[in-house]
Amino acid sequence: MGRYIAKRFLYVLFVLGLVSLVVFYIINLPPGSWIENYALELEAAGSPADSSELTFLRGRYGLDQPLHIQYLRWIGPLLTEGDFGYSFEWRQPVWPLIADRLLLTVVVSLASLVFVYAVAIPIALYSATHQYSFGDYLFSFLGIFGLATPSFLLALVFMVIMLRFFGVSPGGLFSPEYLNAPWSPARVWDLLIHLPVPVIVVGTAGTASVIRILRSQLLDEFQKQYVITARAKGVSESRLILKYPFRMALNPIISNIGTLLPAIVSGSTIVAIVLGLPMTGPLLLRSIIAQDTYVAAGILMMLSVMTVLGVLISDLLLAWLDPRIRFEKSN
Amino acid sequence: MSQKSPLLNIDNLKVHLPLEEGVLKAVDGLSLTIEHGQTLGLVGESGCGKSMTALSILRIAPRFAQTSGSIVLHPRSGPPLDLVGLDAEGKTIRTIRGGEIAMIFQEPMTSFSPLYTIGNQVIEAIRLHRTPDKQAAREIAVDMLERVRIPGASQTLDKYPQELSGGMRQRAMIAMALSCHPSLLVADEPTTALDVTVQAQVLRLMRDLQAEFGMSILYITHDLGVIARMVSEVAVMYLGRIVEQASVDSLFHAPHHPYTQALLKSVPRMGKKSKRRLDSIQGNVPVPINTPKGCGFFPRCPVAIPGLCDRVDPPLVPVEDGQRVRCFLYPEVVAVAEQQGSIAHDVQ
Repeated sequence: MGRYIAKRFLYVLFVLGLVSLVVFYIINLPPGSWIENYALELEAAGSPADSSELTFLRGRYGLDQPLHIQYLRWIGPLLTEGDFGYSFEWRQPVWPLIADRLLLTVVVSLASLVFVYAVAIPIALYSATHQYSFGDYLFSFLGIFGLATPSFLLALVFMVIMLRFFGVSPGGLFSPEYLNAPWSPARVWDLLIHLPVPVIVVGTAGTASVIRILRSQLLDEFQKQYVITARAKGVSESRLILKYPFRMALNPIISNIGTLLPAIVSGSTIVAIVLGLPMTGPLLLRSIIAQDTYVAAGILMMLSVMTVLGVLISDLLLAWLDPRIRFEKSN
Repeated sequence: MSQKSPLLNIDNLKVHLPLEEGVLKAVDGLSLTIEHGQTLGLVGESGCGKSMTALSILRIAPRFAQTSGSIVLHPRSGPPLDLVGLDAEGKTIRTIRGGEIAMIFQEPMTSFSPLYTIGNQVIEAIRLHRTPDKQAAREIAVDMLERVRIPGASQTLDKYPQELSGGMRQRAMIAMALSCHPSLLVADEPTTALDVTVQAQVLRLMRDLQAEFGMSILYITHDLGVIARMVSEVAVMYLGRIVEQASVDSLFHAPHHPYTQALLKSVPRMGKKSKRRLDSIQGNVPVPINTPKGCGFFPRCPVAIPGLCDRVDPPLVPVEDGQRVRCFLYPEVVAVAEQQGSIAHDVQ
């Protein structure tokens, strides 16, 4: 098992290396760059096109050099000093710009993940054990409804509800007074108050799909011989369902964690824009439009790290939970 | 060793499955008695309702199945109990499942969950019925695995099912079923999925264990060779009911029902003229949805009596010493049908 984990970590590093190449290449594919556009703007305004600032930046990141030199100038400091480069647009280093947003993105994503499973698992268990009952049909209807509702619409509806009935400021993850305040218990509390709306909005579609997957998995497993064997032993129905078919049906759900995470991150971009959430999605969109290379590359790299780690974690969880997989890996 | 006292009385058992195409009568008026210490064989083609009968005895037939009739168990202690009347998820039936009546299944490959060790699953049964104590339950499990002659019993307990061969898994299955000393073992095609040499070992093992534990066995199979080796009494099932019941000797030497006769002819035998094609029964078992009146075997029967067999359902009647048959070829059957008023005198 230890060897398996070590091997998987090596793969992770290899994949991330490849990802960094692809990310950097694609970001630089569109013609022009922020620097060139800025120089043109300055020229149009009648200022000298070649300010010392631009010269410094060109030299620092090798912007007048071929792409592979630019890549090395970017990835080198990133690996050695954790320096993500400089944002042309925001005139500040990339890391402080994205750090808080990354943290909040992770918080919202993980909270959504917990929400998805906390809601979906009991409903799926109910639906599967009461197949074709009124409750099953009701949940199926709500599930399809949830899948079909555009999340930005749901976001708008929730904003109205929150303001009208709870008096919580719509949008954002913080009240205005905590927006730029340093972290404190009061600020964390403020975040918790604001969290439910984005979590529900972001998690609804995921909940609906997890209910559907888990329900059909459970119904499949209920037919299996080992369930009948256990029942013939005299095991009580509730214990039987949790110990046998449910454990088995969890596999696809667990292997989904890795892919659900990036889906939440990218799927929440529109919601984040509508709700004004300080997450990575809107910043990434803007940096790509503005050709703010290092911000875009930094965010994409961090999201890739999260995705690859998410997949790794769900694989390790699977191996831990399912002896068949463990057996295969150790051979 | 047979004391001739009933352990299980099944009377007019019906298991009907309401499907979209109509009501499927999986079991349709089956009556059967299993004595203490007896091995009763239940034979029939696939789809004749053998397995559904077995599942119904334990009340683990599909939830939507409609069960009627009675299955009266005479447990070791306490008064007789009608299992059909019990709540299928209740406490009473759960103490009977695995405790009084245990079951082994056809598929040793899928009968255990691959997520838990053999030990976990065997000990679960022991802790439910014999002792809540973990250590004691494990000792019983080791002992049972040794009795079914699994080498390295203690280590095998900690293995996962997929690490064992089919024969070993079926032995573990038998160990699990017998670990709580059931008075009835329902064996649903337990050796069908095994290859012949392993099958012989498992059969011998089951016979030995039966002698040791003194339990009754309901042995369900379509394999007449196994029946000849294993059981003393045979019931032949067709379309959800018994068409003939006899001691194993009478059945093999003097089969009465045309279906039984056809079934026996379709078994290959050593030393017989092997150039001849093996006999087979015309047609298939009809799906028992909207079955017409009359004898279920009528459409496939070579000696059917038109005007009688397609109109009236023959009753199951004793025709010779201990041999019961459901066929109008025998005057005794006709007489009983007349008495019941289901046919008039003039039909013959």
